[in-house]
Amino acid sequence: MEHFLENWRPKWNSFKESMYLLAKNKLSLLAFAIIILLVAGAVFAPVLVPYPEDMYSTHIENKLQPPSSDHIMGTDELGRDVFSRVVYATRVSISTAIVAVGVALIIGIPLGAIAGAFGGWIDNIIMRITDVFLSFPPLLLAIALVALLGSGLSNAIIAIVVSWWPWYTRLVRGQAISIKERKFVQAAETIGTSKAKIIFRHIIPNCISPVIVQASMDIGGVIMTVASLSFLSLGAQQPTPEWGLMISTGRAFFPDKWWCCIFPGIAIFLTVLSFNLLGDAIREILDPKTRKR
Amino acid sequence: MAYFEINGLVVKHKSYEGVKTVLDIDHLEIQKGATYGIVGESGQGKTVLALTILKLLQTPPGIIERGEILLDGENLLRKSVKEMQRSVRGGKIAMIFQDPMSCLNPVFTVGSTMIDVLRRHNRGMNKKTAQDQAVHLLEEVKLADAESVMAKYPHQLSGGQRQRVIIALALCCGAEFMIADEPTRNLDVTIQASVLKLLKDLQRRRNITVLFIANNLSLISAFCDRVAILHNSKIIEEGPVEEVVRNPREDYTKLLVDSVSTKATAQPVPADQPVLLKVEHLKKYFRINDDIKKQKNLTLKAVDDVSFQLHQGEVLGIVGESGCGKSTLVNTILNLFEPTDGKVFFEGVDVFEAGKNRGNAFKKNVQIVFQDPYWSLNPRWLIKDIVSEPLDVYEKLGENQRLARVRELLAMVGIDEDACFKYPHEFSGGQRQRIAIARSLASNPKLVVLDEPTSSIDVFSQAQILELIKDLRRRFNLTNILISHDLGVVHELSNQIAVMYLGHIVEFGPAEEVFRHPRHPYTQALFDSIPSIHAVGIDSLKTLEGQIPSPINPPSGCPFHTRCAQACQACAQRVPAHTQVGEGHVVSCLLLEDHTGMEETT
Amino acid sequence: MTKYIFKRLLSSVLVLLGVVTITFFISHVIPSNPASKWVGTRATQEQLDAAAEELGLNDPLPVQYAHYLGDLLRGDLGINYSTKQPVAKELAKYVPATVELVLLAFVLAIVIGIPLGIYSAKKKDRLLDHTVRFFSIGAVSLPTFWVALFLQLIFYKTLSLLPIGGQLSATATIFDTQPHVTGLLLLDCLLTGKFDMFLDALQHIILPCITVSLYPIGLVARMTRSALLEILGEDYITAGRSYGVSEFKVLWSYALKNSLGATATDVALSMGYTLTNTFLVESIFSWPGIGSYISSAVTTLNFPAIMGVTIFGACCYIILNLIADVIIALDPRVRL
Repeated sequence: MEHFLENWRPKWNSFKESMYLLAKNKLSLLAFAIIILLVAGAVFAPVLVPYPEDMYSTHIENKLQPPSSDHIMGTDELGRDVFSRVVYATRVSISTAIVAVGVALIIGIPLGAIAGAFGGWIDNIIMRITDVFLSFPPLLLAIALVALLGSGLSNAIIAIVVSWWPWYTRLVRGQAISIKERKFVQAAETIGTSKAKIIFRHIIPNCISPVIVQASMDIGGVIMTVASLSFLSLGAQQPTPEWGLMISTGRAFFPDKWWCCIFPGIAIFLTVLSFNLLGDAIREILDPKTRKR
Repeated sequence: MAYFEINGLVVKHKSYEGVKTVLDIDHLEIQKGATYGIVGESGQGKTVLALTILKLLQTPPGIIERGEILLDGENLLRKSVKEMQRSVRGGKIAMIFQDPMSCLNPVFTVGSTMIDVLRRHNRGMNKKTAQDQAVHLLEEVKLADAESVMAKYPHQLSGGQRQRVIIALALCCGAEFMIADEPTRNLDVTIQASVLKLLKDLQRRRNITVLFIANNLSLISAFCDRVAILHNSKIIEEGPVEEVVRNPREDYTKLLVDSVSTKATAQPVPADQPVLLKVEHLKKYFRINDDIKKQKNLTLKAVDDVSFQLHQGEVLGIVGESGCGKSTLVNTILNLFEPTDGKVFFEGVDVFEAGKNRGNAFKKNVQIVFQDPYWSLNPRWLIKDIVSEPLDVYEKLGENQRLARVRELLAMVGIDEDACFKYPHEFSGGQRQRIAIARSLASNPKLVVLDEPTSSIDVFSQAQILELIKDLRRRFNLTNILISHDLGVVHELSNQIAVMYLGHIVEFGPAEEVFRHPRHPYTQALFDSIPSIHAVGIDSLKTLEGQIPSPINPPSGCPFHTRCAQACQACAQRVPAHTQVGEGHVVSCLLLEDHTGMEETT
Repeated sequence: MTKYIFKRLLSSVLVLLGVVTITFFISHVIPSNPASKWVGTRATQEQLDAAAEELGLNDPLPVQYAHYLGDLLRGDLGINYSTKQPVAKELAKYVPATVELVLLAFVLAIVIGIPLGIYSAKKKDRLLDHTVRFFSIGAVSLPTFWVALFLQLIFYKTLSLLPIGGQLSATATIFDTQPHVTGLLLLDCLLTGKFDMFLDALQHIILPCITVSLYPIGLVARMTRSALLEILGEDYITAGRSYGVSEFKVLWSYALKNSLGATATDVALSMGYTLTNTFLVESIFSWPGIGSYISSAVTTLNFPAIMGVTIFGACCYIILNLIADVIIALDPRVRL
């Protein structure tokens, strides 16, 4: 602990270098800007939106008003301000996505590293199981699970984690197999380092790059999946503000009262787009051909 | 005016670090029919030159600032890419590439690629004619069974065969000027000799002008008439090969000449040292499936009955070409592989038995330094963690003690102590190799294995690393096993030398003795096929016909008999025993079994 | 090669077994009381017990599993709780309409996506490249169900150009019957010479088709571009150019053949997503496909129907991956 600063400064410098490269790409800067806006919107929602109480209260007398100066995105079928709800929904979407992707990573990465590092029958068993899960089209499995566990956001998260972890396992396993052949792993074996340490301190840190790219794009993907599930009334339930749910309830009045459906959809698009752009930009930075490493 | 001229060429490279000058050539000229060599370090310069001439350089990162390249009076740099493609590429200038595996399109057969190129340069040639011509060319590059090679895919051929195909492809173009970019870089020494001879032969017969690029001065001295030395993007010295080699003017040139000259021998070891490592009849066979020939459960005999002894303080150099089993031998001794048979004793203790009871004492005492300084250090670890990894396994030290020990080790190898908190990518190849050496010393080992310690680093650093190794040996009384394909390095460091072929040790003995009087036919062929700077010209190279047999299906009896000019009937029937031919000098050859102690007739 | 196909088929069957086991586990073990779903929420205890007996719920688990497998092998996907009809029969009725959409999306993905990706790679960093990249990343970020609604808004409500849904207008079937040759309406109309109906069907399929094709076109364009960029940087391309081979040949022969394997996998993957997207979108367009079927099943929590569709979806996915694997094996480097 005495050398804490010296230990962490090089890692901090690496991080700063990556951020600098990220900032140079204009498109990723745009993505970053949008994401920061979204996160700020999510965190400060109660303060930012004009009608925070519309998360719970209803104003039937005001229902289905077209966009105006009072309500820039109009009102929904219960008279609630669409704009406020759209901003509030950011919280739900982003937090759900981060939790789902996080848990999937925690399950998927070690499994993949162990499969790749050990090979043999361990690899076979893990990959057979992974293959089975990967054979379900992602949304279908989630639908099936939620249909049976019951609707609700937490069940949706569980369903998504179950359908998502195999992708990371497969990705990490492929990486682990090639990292295993690297000389520093062989050096560690001759030195006598334990297998566990080799997996967790040598192999996994070197597999991380493509996983980071995939995970950042997956945050967008999970947001899309949650929205799709909610669209089918399987995810978020009323009165929770969620984009997919808003589109689903708004369908009844479509296409006349179009604002109930269109605006939440634009929000989904912008969010998913910015995470996809971010993932793309990160991939370009981490590409070994464009760096010295 | 010369046939080929370069004037005032400046090529730069743009990366996120800035703009770097890669080439800055004032003047270079090549006469028609000449062989001209360019020598330089492994880096971007030489290949960039070749690509620039053919306008193949990727111009976003590369920038051709100014200059002219004249071929028969025409300035190539002024032509558009389309013009180059139509008239110059292939038609006037053909290129022979360095890495034949990556330069042949993997999804096309050799035949279809060749027919394509032939028809491109011979409008109106029909398929049948092209096919015949292709076979003819393959025979001209001395590829056995040309018809069947036509139908094969690149991955189904050996390295030597692929290189000949690349040469044949260059001939398909029908050009009079060829650029050979390190054509023998990835080939074994004996195959390299035959490819060089082939190239020289073709050059003479067809009167082709050759620009030969290499990083090894002795290769150039064997092949070329004139040579230019490329260093830091400039040509610092130029002239007829004999001149430059015998009287180098610049310091860098002297360094290059020095690195390929045979040098003084290693320091002698006092007698009566205890035996540190004893290997007895070690065998390592692998069970594999040959998917290409669809055979299962074949045995790959990587190491076949190897025995030797190593005394404390000695350096054993192991030489041999690819597939001889030297890496597998070392990995088995280090207990990274389970042996199929045989025993290894370290300080009298059976290594494999102790290993079963988790005997860490062996691993603590035997360490290895790898060839590749880039991947032998974990790119995500700090230097201090890398160097102290062995410490963490065998000792429990506090943070401060660890750091002190790491600094000590780094100082021993000449690395500044503030390297502790840096990452490997911040260091050069030579420095990383030193860090790897520091790591290998952390557990105070008795035996350090050096696997091609200088192959992947530049010439400057090579000399320094070798000096460092000698210094550390003296200080810590280390014993070393050295694997290298560079005989100069082996000669400089080793006391003992073992020559391996197809998993067998065919010759073993004191280094000086074996170098001066190689007795085994393979050893003789090996030494003769390495171009030496002292014998300029290609005719001094002796080629060894045939290919190295596959270790899956090794020849019966003596493994070398399929290529041995002196083989007799009996050679195919039994494996020769080790015969003593001198003090500590042992050879495995039937011909010498009956002539022990007598001079062998060649 | 045949041996390889056989091996892959075998492993696909094993994977299918795993899939089926999971669906069994999901549908038989998790739900708290399948019997009550069968008879409805206002059943008496006797009715519940009778239902449990009939559904075989009182048998030990392995027996239930064996029954389940046996049923599946006979093509029996269970009985729909609400309609009391065999799920398999119902599915068969709805599958063709979905197949029509997915097939069209597949064709468009290849015919539009691949050339876009190729030209984008060729003209890297120029205007075409940036446009294609933006389009493809945008296409995969759009929520499909939203695109459906948006297109309806523009083309139906605002411009009144195209119909809002259905495969045919209500008037189309008054004087003429719907042809049933292959099950694919457009094809059937052409085959039976009913050109008026064909035009009508074409009008109706445009919007759903665009909606469903956007994602695969974008994905395939992006993947083709990156695969090709990587290949164009390889040494054998430089070598080919040095021999004087024309750029056209370098791109369309040398480079493309090397990218087949990766492209096949990407197209297969995109089809998997497209299938699920189609399910989401069909109810919006009142398209009589599996999507409509599953939407209603989901709202009523109709397990056999949901499981039936899941197994069907997984089967399609497995077949697609099998085809992709076979195409990858055409690469001579792959050891069979």
